[in-house]
Amino acid sequence: MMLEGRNVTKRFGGLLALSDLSFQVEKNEIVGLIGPNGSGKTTLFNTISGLYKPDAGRLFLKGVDITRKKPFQIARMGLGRTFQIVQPFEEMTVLENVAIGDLYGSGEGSIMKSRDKALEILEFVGMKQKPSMLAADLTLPDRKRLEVARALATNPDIILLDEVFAGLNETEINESIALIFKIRDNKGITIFMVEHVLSAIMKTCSRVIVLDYGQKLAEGTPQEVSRNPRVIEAYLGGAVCSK
Amino acid sequence: MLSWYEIAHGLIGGIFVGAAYALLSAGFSLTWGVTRVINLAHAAFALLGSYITLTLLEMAGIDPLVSIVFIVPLLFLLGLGLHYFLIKPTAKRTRDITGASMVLCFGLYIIIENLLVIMFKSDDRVLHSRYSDISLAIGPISVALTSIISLAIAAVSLVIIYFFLNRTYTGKAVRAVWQDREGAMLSGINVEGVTAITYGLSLATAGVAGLCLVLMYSVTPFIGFSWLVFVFLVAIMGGLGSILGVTVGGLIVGLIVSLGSVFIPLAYINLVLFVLLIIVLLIKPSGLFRR
Amino acid sequence: MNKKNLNILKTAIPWAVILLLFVFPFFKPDIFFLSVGVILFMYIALSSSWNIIGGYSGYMSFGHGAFFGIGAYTVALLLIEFGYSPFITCVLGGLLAAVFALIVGYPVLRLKGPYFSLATLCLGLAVPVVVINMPNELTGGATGLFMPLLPVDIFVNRTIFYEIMLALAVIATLISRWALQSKFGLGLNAIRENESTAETIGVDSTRLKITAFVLSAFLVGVIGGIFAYYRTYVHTTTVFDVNLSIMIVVMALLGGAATWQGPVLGATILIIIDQILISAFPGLPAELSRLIYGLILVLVIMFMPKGIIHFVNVWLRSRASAAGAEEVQK
Repeated sequence: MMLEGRNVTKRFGGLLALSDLSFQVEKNEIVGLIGPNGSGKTTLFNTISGLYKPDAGRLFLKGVDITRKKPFQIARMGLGRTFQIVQPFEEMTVLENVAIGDLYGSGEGSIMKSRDKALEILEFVGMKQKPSMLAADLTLPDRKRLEVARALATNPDIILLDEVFAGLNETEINESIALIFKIRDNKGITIFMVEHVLSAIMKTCSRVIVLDYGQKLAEGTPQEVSRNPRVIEAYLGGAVCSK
Repeated sequence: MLSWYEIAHGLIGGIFVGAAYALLSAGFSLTWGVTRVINLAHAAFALLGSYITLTLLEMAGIDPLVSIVFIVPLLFLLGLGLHYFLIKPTAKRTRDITGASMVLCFGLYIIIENLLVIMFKSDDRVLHSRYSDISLAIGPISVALTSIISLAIAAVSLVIIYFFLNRTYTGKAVRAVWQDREGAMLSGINVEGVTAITYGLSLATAGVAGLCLVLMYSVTPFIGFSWLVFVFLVAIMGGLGSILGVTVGGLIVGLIVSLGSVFIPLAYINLVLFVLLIIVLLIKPSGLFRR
Repeated sequence: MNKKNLNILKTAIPWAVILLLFVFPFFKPDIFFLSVGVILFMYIALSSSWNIIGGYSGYMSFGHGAFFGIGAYTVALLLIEFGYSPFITCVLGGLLAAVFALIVGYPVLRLKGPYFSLATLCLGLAVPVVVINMPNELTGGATGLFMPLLPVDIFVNRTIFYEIMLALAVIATLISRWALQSKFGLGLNAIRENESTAETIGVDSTRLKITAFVLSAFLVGVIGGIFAYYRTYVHTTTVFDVNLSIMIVVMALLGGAATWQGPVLGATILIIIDQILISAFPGLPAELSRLIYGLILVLVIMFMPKGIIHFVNVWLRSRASAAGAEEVQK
């Protein structure tokens, strides 16, 4: 078991953002997390990565309880993530952005070594030609790639991808899909991804979890889920028909 | 022996000072909220208001109450100037306006302070108006008329700002920009104009606060800094971003200063304030009255 | 000129300047220049030390005067009470400042942005209130503490402090440069850019911030100790000066707070302008020279809000690429 949540509940004031949610992600899986806006997807990612503390329930990473751990500890234990609204360190270079991930996320390593490692990862995600650019000057697709690269640099066992396809065009989406498979197959990293672009989910995920109002509405293969009447009613219907 | 008399005196004094500090802090809070600028020169602009009042009275015999008519438009224009000629061009060249604006406003503070020294010398100045020697008796307590006038001006001004922000279209636009600059821009608000008005309003209220303070206290060109410290205390105590919060924050600070001086040595009052502020910040990092 | 030579030049010039500054007193200059040197080096050292927390991590402390004063009082008391030499006890002053930073750092560094700045400003104002109200035998209260002079003539005295402050400026700058270019500095930069994102890639922000704050406070405490002995008099109004707290921030921001050269440049420019305004135009009233000083601050930051170093770097880069384009055209 790579990642497990047991009865996770998170409240914001009176609002129940996650309600008694249990889920599991096996090693080497690519699991999708979908649901209407405000269904708690990003809240779940923030709770897993330690930015929020759950009000009830427990979270396990590779069998170790991470419920009360701080974000940096969880990151060092092998959990990487990207953000829906990309958050590169804008006033730093692309190389520095990635090197920090290696320096702090994967433990020791000198500055020189991290630079080499960072270059390697930049090549892996397909942006090795821009190491000395300021992150602030990147285009949106490159910013998204940079986020993935920075998370990869922490040498994770599992990576949470929060809407890496949003705002990308068809070609860019296909490139990103290829990258996701490459991450799983070449690096052996498990992937848990929030996504709105359903065609991408269909192509990448072996299993999909559907959230609605902070609860698990359905779970199964993309095909099963897309046929599930409850899911169609809550959310998928229109989107699937239009495809 | 402490008497009820002394305590009541402290209470009333606290309300007088507190209201003036609240008005002084309101504008600081506004420009911080709308543009993320920490205006270190805010109190210096208030001091301009004080000196305008002094000068108008001494040179032309103009009543302090009438001088509001001069202070408000003049400081409003200065505020527009501050925005259009200093803040805006600087903001264009950097993402981090907070840091740059601190240096900018610190420079401005030095300029105003020394301008005042050159024009008015650095001696203590006291406003001798026709209200100065009159006291009113509230029960057994006598209160200077100037303090009451100051309280009235501050209270009316705060109410006006409050209604402006909550009832008028422009005021609501100011609050919208405050909460979400990009969102406001997308929904068609003239963010540029709103920001300029915010600066005008901020400095105009600072000027009126300067008038309130000079009604009660003597001033020197150097007093701006200690006022600034109170602005910080009030704005943070009340939470950057709420007129109600600033008013309550001002009253709390005023009461501590005023009541405190009844119970403890003067030197320790600031210490109490600072420690209290730090405790407030630690319990509620965004101020007492913010969300 | 090829790139390697340029790099050698880049390292050689600063060290040559330091060497020149070091031998300068042996040419028996006017004592005035030595005094300016002491103040200049002190501000370079202070601003560079501040920059470790304020510039690199973006936690702009306005209360560093507290650390300066703690160092100064420690040195003064140990000299007066026990006769220990300030040149040794300044380290103790630094340690005491560091301990104080450690204690207040934990709560205060939880605050963000302006809230942190204003809380530290309050700390900087609160500490002298405590000191001045301590028993008179201990801190001299409102009178302050007088220290015995070094038993040498005034020129030798100035030379000694000139060289020590020069050394402190070099050390502080080297530490701040090391801090920026190390793993530590990259982590601090990540915190400045986005603290919670930094956490999610493994940056232990709490520990890094505290370390930077404590290191910064230690250096400032040491400098305060030396300054106390230079003045031979400590009083809350001179060693806990809020102006000092603000000046070192302004110097770093003016020069460029994200760089290690920024504080050096910012301090140098501001001190030199200050001195020129005061001494080159002896007829100029003090307030007029202050006014011009404020005007310069406003103008410089308006056109270079990211600091002078950043501005120069961008200019150099654009010139380099323009030159490159010309080469291609040929």
